[in-house]
Amino acid sequence: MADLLSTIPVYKPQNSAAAGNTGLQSLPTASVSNPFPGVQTYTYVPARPLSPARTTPKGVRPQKVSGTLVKENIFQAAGSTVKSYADYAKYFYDAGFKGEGTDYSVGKINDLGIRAGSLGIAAALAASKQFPLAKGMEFVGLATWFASMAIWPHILGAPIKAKTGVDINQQYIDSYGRRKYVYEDNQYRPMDLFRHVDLDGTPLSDKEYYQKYKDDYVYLDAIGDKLGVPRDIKNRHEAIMNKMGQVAVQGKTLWMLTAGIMTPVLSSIVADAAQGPLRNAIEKHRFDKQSKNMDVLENSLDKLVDINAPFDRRNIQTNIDEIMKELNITIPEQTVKEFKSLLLRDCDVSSADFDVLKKYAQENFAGTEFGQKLKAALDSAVKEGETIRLPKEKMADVLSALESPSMKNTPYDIKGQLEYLLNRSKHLSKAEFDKLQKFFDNEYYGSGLKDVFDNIVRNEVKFTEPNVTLSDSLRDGLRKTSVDAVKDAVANMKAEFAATLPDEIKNFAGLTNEDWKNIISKSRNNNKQELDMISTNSLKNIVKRELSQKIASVKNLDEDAVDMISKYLDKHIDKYIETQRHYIIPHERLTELFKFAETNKSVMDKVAQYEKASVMNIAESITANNWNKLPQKYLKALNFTKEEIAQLGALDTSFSKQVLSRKFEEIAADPQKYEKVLSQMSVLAQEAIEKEEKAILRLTGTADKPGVLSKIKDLMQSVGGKVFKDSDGISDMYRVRIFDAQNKFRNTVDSFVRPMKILDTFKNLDQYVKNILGGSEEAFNSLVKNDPANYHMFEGLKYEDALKSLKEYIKDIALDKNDINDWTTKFEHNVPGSKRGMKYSLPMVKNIANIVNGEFDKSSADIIKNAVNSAKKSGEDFVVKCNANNQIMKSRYLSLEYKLAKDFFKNNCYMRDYTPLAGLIDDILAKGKKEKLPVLEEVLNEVKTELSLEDISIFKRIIGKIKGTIEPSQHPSLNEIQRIKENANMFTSNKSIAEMSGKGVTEFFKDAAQSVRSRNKWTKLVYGLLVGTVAFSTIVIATTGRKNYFNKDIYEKKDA
Amino acid sequence: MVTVSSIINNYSNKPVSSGVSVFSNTKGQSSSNVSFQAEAQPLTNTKPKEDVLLKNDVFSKIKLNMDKALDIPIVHIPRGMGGAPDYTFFEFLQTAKVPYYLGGPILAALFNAGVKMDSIKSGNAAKMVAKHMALGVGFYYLGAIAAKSIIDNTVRIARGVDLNQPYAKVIPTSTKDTGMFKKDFELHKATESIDFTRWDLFYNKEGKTPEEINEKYAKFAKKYGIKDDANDIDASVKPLIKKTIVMARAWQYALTAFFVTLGIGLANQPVWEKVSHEGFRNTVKNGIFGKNLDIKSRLNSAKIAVYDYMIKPFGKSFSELWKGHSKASSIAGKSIILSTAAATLLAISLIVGKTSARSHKIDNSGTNKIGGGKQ
Repeated sequence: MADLLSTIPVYKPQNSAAAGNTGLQSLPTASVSNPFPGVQTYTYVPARPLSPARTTPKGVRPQKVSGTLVKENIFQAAGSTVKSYADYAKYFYDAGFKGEGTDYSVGKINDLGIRAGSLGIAAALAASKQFPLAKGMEFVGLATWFASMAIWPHILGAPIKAKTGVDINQQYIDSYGRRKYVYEDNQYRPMDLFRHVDLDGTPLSDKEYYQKYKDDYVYLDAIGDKLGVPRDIKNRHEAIMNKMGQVAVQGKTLWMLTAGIMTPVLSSIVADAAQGPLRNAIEKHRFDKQSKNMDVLENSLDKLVDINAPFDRRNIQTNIDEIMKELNITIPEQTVKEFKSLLLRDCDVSSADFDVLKKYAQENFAGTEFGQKLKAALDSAVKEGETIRLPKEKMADVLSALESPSMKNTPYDIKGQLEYLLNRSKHLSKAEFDKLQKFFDNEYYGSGLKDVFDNIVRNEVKFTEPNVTLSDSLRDGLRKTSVDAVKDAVANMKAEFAATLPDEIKNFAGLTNEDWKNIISKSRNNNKQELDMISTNSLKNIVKRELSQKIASVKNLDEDAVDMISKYLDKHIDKYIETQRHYIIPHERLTELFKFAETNKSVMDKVAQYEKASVMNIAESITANNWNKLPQKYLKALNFTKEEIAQLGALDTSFSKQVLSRKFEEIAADPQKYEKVLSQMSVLAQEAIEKEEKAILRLTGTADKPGVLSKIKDLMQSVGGKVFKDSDGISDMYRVRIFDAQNKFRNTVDSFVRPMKILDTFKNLDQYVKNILGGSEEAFNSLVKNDPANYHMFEGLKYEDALKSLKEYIKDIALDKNDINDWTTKFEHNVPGSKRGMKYSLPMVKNIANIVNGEFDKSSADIIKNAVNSAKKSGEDFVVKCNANNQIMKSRYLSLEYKLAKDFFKNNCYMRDYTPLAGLIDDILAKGKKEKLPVLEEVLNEVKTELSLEDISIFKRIIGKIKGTIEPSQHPSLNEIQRIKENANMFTSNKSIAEMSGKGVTEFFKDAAQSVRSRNKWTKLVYGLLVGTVAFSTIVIATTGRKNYFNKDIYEKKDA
Repeated sequence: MVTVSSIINNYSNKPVSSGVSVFSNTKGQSSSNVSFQAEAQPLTNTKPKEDVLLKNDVFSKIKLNMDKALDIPIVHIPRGMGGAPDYTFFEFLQTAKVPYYLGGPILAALFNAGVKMDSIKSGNAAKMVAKHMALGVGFYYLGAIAAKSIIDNTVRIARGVDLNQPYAKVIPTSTKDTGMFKKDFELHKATESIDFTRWDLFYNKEGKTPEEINEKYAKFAKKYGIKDDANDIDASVKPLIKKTIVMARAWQYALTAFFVTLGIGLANQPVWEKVSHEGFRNTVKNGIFGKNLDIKSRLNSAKIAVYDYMIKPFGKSFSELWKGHSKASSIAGKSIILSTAAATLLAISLIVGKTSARSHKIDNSGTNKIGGGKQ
């Protein structure tokens, strides 16, 4: 048989006896005699193993035969996972760079790769997000994803283990020290692992084990009992192992079927839960950080603005360098460089002047700083035609050295000559000047500094004519231009006429050297003054004059031709001179302006950062977070049912309005419910508003205590006024910023308080309506009959119907029409059942305005006060805040009222602005209603940016008088009070009402309902999947390990 | 911590074949008068009787993959749910594809359910987010495929080794218990295991001379740059192939990390917001498969569907990722693109460089030259 086999050519043919002659004796060869000499045989020399670096054994030691079960809790498991990543990195190095590895080690690289990839994804997504929460959530999402992926098999494993004793996640460490899963491969049943294992799964040493137990497999037997494997069968341990295999396969299949669903579901749920706390933490962190920045800024501002001095006697720092130092502002180098490069141009000098400068550099100023700088500039000069160009980069140094104190003692004539030559670098061409202007326009857009810049240009920039004696190129340019002009003129003449022109014109050569000499000699005498004068037209005029004289002196030239040629000369030379014109800019001034602008920018950047974290309408600000949470909480407080929320969120607004109206009526009708709902809303609103108010007050401050923005405004305004003689643009800019911040706050309060006010309106609506309509049928009828100007809209209606109509009308305004979209037309809508609206009835409009936007009813105010008080905040303050805001909004909001006032009082002014201050002052001073004082103070804060400082001081004295905090000698005079009443108007027209008016009530709740609905949709899906999967898993687990189609559980009884 | 995707990618974490079956087929050398045959065979409806390499052209690949996918629900899952005694690790790996391909879409669906869709404005914004999300899921898988295919092709072109070479593994245990769910063979890959590579399958069992038997190894050897006269050609090239498999697999995993990041980065670019899903669907539905159209306009629509709706925005998304919309995102974008490119080049150069025979000492005495051996 052996012979037969050797005749078959196999893939490793045997070596023949002749192999010994190959010269490779060192290699082991085997020789087999060939029993079939006729058949070809083959030489075989085995390959030398490649040198696998790690296979070299280092010391021989006996290997442990079997593996050990791993017993560790979840934290230990997490620890060993993290630890193993270091190993995996090494596996990757070995595999990827050296090509060494095993299935195990290379497989582990994948774990590492997946995590690295996921981190990469999270980082990529986070980088594309603009806000910290969004960035953070990418990593939270990643973490929860992996956590759920890791935890789900353990969740599944626990009940399976409880039921069957089999832990599908059981790991062991094999004899190579590698960590593996016991049930990874169903074909591999490592029974040895279960030998000498304690009943709780802890592997014991043989010695320990035999002290406790006799049988080798107590743990396995225990599992077997749990699995219901009969005790008296043959090969029970194998039967148990098989059964365990069954459970493991079932458990792992279940895991694979459910993991795809549960990983995202669990991850979603956890990430969703994490979002709230993370959002709050980030909000707090950002706000605290920015508040600290504001502290630092304000601290510096206080030093600069001399905050403790009386308002009108403040000593405000106006030295920009000092301000920059105090505010710790350094302008980015890049910007400075850019700006400086705009201020200078290359300095052109003639070769003679170049030699003069060279002489100065080498002799007079050799060794000084100026000399060195000048030398550097001269060294890098470039020859351009007849002139020599000194680059502007070097000129900046030269010029600053020229102005340095050490140059003070330079003789006057030398310094003069140097300045004359070198300052040319400061003469900008039109294009260069335009660039400079653009720089200011673009870099400091919207900063109010454009006016300042324009002012400086208007007053301080000088224009220069190019110097005639110095520039040959200019002379040449003018000659060419005049020749072109004459040619152009001739070309535009009729051909037959042009042909008759004298040769001097046909071959016009422009101003000759003779002519120029003439001009210059004249300029030394008569024209000298004219040339010296830095006026825009001097050179142009001289040249033009010379040229026209030259043309006019041509014999036999038609007068019309002279006229025409002169016109063309004018046009061409004007154009040419314009291109040659230079701007002499005031360096120091513009540098100062640049610093000021940068200071301004830097300070405003800080404020903007603060606003972004707090009150700006931007994602993740305090405002945004309030808006994320509060409306939905209101929905909850109002006890909307699921169906109602669905209806409310429907696309049809009129439908939403009906639902809302029903709800408000229902609550208003039940005093207990009313109190409960209003209390809840008050606490929520107070909390949200307080946060924002804190942030806003920091910026705007109050009339007594100016905020950061006011201080910046004072500072910048003073600098603008003192240094640049122009502060209007700057102070306007800051005023707008302060307005904006205030408007923002109004908006918030208006949005969050309005639903409460509407609830209040609904509660008292019956009473209000009755009051308006007279209270009884007779009274109503007589009103309609006797006061048609105000009651015409109820004409023809019965009393009951009129009550209903008016109620509907008010409800409609309250819920829907009191909105920025409708603010000018809301009273034009007709009253239900009538064809008329209310816009022609001022008392009616005022009534409704008071009902909808007025102060809270006393009982409602008490509810609010108590609720807020019980939340450990000042309820009194909050009610004042709400009422004042309502008042302000009413005044800002009801422009129509003023229009009506004009008609009503036959007043000639078109827009009679509302004066709530005057009314309040009257109420308090004349009628003695002292309780309105807090509202007055609040309103004063509102208008403080609109009043002069003097008016504010009068105002404060009025308040002081009422409070009794000032001496009688300081009490305001009657004239002053009158003056305030006239001046303290609220202008409806100049305020951005759209910004300050809150969200319409219907829209407010509709949006909230939509958010709730989409959240419900998510909840439904997530929890649906969760419940479904858990139910499925439960059923599967219940049947795990049972006898089934694949496992018949047929056992052979042990022999007796 | 074992994870679903790690299992799926740890395709060869554990030897798939139990020790018994390795080399078990070398016994099947048939009589010497059988002529030389092509070794890779198409998978026909007749079941193979012994382990055999299968063809790996496009159509065979599609059929194989469809067969494999179909087996998951109708064979592997029922057997797994029942805990079949002969359930294999291979089957577990197949089942693990379920969560791998289910997780991403479900996450996208959950996200989609959570956004506000009621009003037109928020609905549009949400649609855009959902679009990025769906694309992201798609590009994630595409990125993983790209990483794998780059290495596969590098190895195939440079070394002639097809890492996806399929073979049918005959399962001897058609036990009476498994009945209707029994399987006769599994579709494995010859190089799926590093420790238990199916070297035996690459020998020509019908070959009569060493040249014939080792023909495949000789081809590999040539690709690896081993001289013809190397001692023991198959034994010389095997360690190099093994090294190739190790490096290829390691780099496939590593590159996957880069490419999925790149994929998500690209999917996240604004250009995709401008690509209308409806427009694409209409182009395909009415432009390519519409009724009463001449072939020219169909081709034109196909061109639009591929170029305007896919290639163009894809290219644009690259430039958007590169530029970014902020400093951070531009740095991130550039580093994603550059590091992916650098890692890919490094991988290719290492694999090509380190597996070459030139960087190893191969004995070549001349005595083993195939066909030129001594009598």
